[in-house]
Amino acid sequence: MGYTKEYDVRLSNESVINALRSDDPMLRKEAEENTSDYLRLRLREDGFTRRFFNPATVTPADLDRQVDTQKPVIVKDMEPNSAGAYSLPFNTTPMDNYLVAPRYRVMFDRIESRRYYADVNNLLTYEMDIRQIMNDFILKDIMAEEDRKFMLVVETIVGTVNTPNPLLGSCQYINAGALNRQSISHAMKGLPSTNRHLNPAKALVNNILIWDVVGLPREEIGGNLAEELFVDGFAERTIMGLPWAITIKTDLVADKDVYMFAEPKFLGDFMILDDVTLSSKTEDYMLSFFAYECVGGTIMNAAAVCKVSFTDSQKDWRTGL
Amino acid sequence: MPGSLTPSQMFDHSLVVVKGPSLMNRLDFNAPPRSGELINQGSVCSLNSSGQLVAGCSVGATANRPMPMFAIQGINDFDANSDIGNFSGGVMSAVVATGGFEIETTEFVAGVYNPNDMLTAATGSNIGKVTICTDSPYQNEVVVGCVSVGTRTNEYGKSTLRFWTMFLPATA
Repeated sequence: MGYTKEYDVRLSNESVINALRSDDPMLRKEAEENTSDYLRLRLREDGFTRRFFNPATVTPADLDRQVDTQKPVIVKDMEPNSAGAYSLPFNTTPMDNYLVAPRYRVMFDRIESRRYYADVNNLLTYEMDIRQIMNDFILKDIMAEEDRKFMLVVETIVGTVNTPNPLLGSCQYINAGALNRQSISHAMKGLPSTNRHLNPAKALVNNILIWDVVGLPREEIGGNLAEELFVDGFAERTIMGLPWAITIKTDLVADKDVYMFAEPKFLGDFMILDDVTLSSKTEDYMLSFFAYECVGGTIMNAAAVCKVSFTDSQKDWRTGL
Repeated sequence: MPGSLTPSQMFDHSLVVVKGPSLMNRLDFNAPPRSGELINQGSVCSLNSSGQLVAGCSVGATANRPMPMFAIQGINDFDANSDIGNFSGGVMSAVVATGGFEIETTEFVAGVYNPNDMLTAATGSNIGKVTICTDSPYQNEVVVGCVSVGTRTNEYGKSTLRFWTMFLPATA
């Protein structure tokens, strides 16, 4: 690296640090947005959880109060269910049914990064871009935690492989056999097979499985898509009319698995009470910063999620056999 | 007949850090609780061998002595646990006994407490509460605190015990 570039980066770092140390909120914001050249060790990505919802920003006025706790919570109504209609002979009155509908609570907690600190003079000796560390790493760490918690709930809901859920009259997690055109179409039947008959609106796979899709022959996935995937690679792809979100978080989404989600209005909630905030503070020559957010999310409709593993022999969604 | 129900309130179980390091720098610790564990706010708790928070603080074994901590949330507070289907919760936090705190907690065994009484973690039906030591330090009981002021009835009518947190492991 040439001296001039190095010098420029150091100057940039110095200006960022000076801005972070400023009491002027505009300067601090600029620093947080302004932060080149350094060795990348791993690829990081934004979170995928929010892609499956319509995230809503809520305000304190939206919160519901509880007698026994001061924790923030929002109470929402859930669709009621009707008892059905029936045939009767004449001169008979209807049976009575009291009108009631379930409710549920959206609960919040905080996700935060570690608080990083450094002597500002030590930061001056770095040649890499401070903003990348702050924005990319810390914020993506927070998104990764969102994803981890989301997938914990998803895994709880889909339950044991090839085991029907009596509530829904269908499995929510099955083996679908090896990946091919037929097994992908079989996977698409997961949500419609439940007694709530939802349709998949988006799928989630990792960046390994998608190469198996790329490897499918032209006659398996259609000529245009095969060629497009081969030439352009992928980020989010529409396969069989369904957008497939692709993640690199192979610790959360295994190589042979695909998850399918119904539309957000059937799925649940993603509420943002405090959106991701980068907090920085300087005491004399010590700089510290961390990021935090306060969000609440739910998957309140068990029928809005299913999982398929492209392994073993193909099983029936309703029986698991 | 007038109402007879007494709903639980947010001050039924409490931990107040009366003195200690500044809030943003104090020594606290986060961990998931063991499944099915009952830990109230203010309860003495510790880590089991799986790294989960459990009520009480056992004497442990040679060269493995659980560190006493005091719960900041109750196990069923919404930020520590949540309704099925919610993403939130799963982790509790507690101040660590060696962190230099004077605390006031509702979670103690009723009795007479005098300044400088050594406190240990109760067991059995009182697990999660602190009680007076019956033995010298470094013997058969883990010491988790030393009484500073003693008991008082707080502003919400709840009996509380005020003490300095500490950790003197048992040697038994």
